[in-house]
Amino acid sequence: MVSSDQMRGVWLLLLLTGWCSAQQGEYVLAGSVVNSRTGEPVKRALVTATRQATPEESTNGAAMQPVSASALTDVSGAFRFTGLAAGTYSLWASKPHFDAAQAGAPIDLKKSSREDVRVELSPFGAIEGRIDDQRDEPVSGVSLLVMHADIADGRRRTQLERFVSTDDRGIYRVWDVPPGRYVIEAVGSGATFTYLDEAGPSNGGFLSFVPAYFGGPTTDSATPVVIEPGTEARANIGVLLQPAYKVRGTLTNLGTGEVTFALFSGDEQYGTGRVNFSRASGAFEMLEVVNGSYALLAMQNHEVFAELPIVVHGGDVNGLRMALAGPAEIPVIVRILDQPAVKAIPEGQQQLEPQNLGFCYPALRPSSGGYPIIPGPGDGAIQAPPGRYRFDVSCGNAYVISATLGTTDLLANPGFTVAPGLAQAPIEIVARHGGGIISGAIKLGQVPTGKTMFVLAVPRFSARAPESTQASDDGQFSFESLAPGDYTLYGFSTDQLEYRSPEFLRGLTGGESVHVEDGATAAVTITRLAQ
Amino acid sequence: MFLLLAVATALSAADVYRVAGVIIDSETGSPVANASVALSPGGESRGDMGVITGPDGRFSFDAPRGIFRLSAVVAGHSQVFGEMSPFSDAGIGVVTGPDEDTAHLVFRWFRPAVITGRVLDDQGEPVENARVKLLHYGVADGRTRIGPRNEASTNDRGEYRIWEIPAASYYLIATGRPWYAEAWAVGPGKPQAPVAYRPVYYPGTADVTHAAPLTVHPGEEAHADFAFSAVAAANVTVNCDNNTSVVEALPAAPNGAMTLSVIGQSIGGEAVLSQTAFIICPFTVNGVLPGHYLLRLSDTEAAGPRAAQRWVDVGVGDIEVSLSLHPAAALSGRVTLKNAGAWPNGLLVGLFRDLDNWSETMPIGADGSFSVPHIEPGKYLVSVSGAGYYAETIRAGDVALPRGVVNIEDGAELRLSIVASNKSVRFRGFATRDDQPLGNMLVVIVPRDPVSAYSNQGYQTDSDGSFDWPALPAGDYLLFAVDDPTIAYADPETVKPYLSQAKQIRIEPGKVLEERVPVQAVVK
Repeated sequence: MVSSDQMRGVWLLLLLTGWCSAQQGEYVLAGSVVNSRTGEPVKRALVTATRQATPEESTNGAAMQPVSASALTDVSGAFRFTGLAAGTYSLWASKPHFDAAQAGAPIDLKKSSREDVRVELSPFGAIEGRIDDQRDEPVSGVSLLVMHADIADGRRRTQLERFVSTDDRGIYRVWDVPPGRYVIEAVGSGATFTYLDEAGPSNGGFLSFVPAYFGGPTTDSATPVVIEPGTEARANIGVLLQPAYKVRGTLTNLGTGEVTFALFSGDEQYGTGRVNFSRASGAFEMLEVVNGSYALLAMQNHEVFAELPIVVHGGDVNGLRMALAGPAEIPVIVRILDQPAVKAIPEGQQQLEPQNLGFCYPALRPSSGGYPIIPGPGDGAIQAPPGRYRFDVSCGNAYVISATLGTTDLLANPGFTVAPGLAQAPIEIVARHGGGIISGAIKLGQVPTGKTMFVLAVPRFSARAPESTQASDDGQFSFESLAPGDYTLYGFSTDQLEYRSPEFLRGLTGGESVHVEDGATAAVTITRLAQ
Repeated sequence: MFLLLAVATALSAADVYRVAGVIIDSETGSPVANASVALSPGGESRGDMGVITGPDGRFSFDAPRGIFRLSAVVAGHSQVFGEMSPFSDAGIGVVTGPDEDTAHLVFRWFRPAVITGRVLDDQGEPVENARVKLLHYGVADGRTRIGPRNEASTNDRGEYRIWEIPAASYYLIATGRPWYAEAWAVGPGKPQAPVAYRPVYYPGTADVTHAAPLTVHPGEEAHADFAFSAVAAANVTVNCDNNTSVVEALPAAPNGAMTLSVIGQSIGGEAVLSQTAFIICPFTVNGVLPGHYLLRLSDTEAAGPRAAQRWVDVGVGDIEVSLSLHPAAALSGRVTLKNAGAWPNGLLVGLFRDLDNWSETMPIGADGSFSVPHIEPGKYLVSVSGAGYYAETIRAGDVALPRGVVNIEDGAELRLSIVASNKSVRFRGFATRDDQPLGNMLVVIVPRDPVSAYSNQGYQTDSDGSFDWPALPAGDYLLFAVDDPTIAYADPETVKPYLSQAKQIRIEPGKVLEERVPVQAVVK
């Protein structure tokens, strides 16, 4: 052990070396670091003062690097740098479990010292909970997916923020969680173990559970955990342990690369026990699958795929045969009506100004999350792995008239399934060059502005998705290339709008109606926020 | 001892035997419910039979004649029937047959233990991301060893928890870095004086010679807290005297493979404390605690492998160390087969290094030669395997290396002569007391030739009291059995008390030997 006197020696040494490395001078920079939530002082926060190079120093190369000094705050959260050279300083404070923060504007120490600088550190949150079975016994080794939940592009979205497992007490904990809303799911492990020999080891695992969320059985019914600065949230989840079975089969058409397996029920991926896979024979064995109807998906290198519907009911499933195949190729046909004639570019001349041509490209968004798939430039087809997708289309200088997949109207029913290896009907998009413009402003009377405003344009003539835009600081907004027809415009002070949900749209009030004609600009003023 | 050895036995549909019993808590004797009990045939991993025990802890299977592995999983923790200590072999096989009572098995379940605690700094604040390492201290493979087991990191509250650990004795080491250590180094010019935490050993000492093992019992939750103290440390800069070629060659060879190891005292002797790969000289190791270290540099990508090492004393204040790269230590040799014939396929020389449990096998050429162009200095165990062969004698020049142990010095070029033989014999029998076979005993054979490269072997008898070594080198041995399967049978001192009553046996090719060996009481 080191005595406290010795330790003071260490701190002093650190402070002095930090001080020496800044240029010698006469100024003092001092203040305190406080917890933004409680107002309490934050002791032992690391404060770094960095002197910015003057324009002269920058030009003559005297200061290639900024000059900085560091110190830890004392028990009252106070810090003090002395002997600083004249200059402009930026000040950063950090401490584990707080969001690192800068003290407002740069601090000017050209004429006088500053001893009143206050830096606020915002504490992160934490989520802790216990996973119990139906007998209130803790379940160890459960994987917890902590997913940040928000709304983007009019839909609920979850993104994996953390991944943890329960300990022997069934307890998990995540910390340093930024403020936000989180959905928490308990699943099995589901990793694929590849063996080079004929048959990998087979181990126990006779009990498992259907994935469960905090507050409900599905993503939509889950209760989001709301984290604000410093929140210590609890989220216990109960799972129903039940007999689990093995799913065995053989995968053929193997190439090279990593093979993984996944089990889906609808859009929800199911956690399973480990998957044993033999590269030599293609034999696989998925452990800990509970009763249910599933889609079993196998893939190699995320390039070739196989999918098979399976039913597990009271026993092991054996003898499955799955053949890997490349992704389905979905032809894409885009027709732009009234497209202006393209001027021929004389030989040797570069086209400097873009032609005002209409264009559209589709995007397939996997229901299970992940990046949308869009055709590459000049591609007449989308390469889509098997799975469920939502169709989306983006156009410029044009508006969509129709989008179909076979006989399905993709504008009204954007969800569809891609089966592996099968020939797919083409996606046909018909759009018209041009479209109407809405130009408007939000003017909210007494309501203080300074908040960013968002506007939705909801078409009243078809079931297609609304358009959204963000208003400028002075409240101006516009929509371009709109399909002609009647719209209702709604103003909001948030972009967390689930506008692709019919329920959300049905409940909206407080809109302004506007009629849009091709080639014309409609003006509108929004004077109230939508409810 | 359960071996992955399929016992060829004639089967008929009528030959069905009951394998049944109860799984009980080793401490309380009460039945264990919700245990997933599985019975697997020897040598096969598929076709398991599995049951989940009810409140009475009972399990039952109908199995053909043969040898089976009986295992149980309780709350994710698995054990094999007959496992006496967690680091003994993998338990014992259950042998079914007309004369075997396998219907009244008692599966003693050793509840796993937990070690948990908190790591705080010298100001009483929790240390996040501190590593707490567990080193098992006890007998494994017949040797008393200190070996790495689990490790865990602390959370934001400085808490760590290591669970599902077998009840045994463990050394604990906590290591960590002050969170502000990196930030302190920010600054122009001369780097600031680094700070570091001294490793802390259970029971709360920074002095490795005062470290003591913590013994945990089945089901126990033991607590071990650690307090770090920040001390001034030093930056150690390593210069390579003759390393210009590597630096110049770097753009063409971005994967230059210089590795720097810092070796120092830890529990159980010297250990690699840190290792950094792909370094370029000069290289600085930041925040080295005061102490005595061996710096070892190895360069395997150079035209010829090179190495350098040097002991340094680190105190307060940065130091610079020059290392002169020279040709690395090399090991080569020739394997001669005792019985001349066609050179067998798949013959390998194996190397095992004590310092860090590193091991590697390398092929032997058709002329019997093998070579390791670059080998780190240290103590190695040399063996021959494949095609039923084993090393009978290993010599370095004229010096025999008993038990195949060789010490390689820095820069040395060592040549080994190995005589290998495949004259191995199946050797089986029973451990008995009052002429009755006894399961769960330890049968040990000790080679009588003092320069034999072969070591003592132990076998934990199966449920019918049998032992069965499928391939034992021919030679003269002493054979005994003892009623404690956990003794360090590879240690000459441990086996000494049993040798006076041991049987002298000669294992010869072409003769299948069967022995009955009386069980001696363990000498405490």
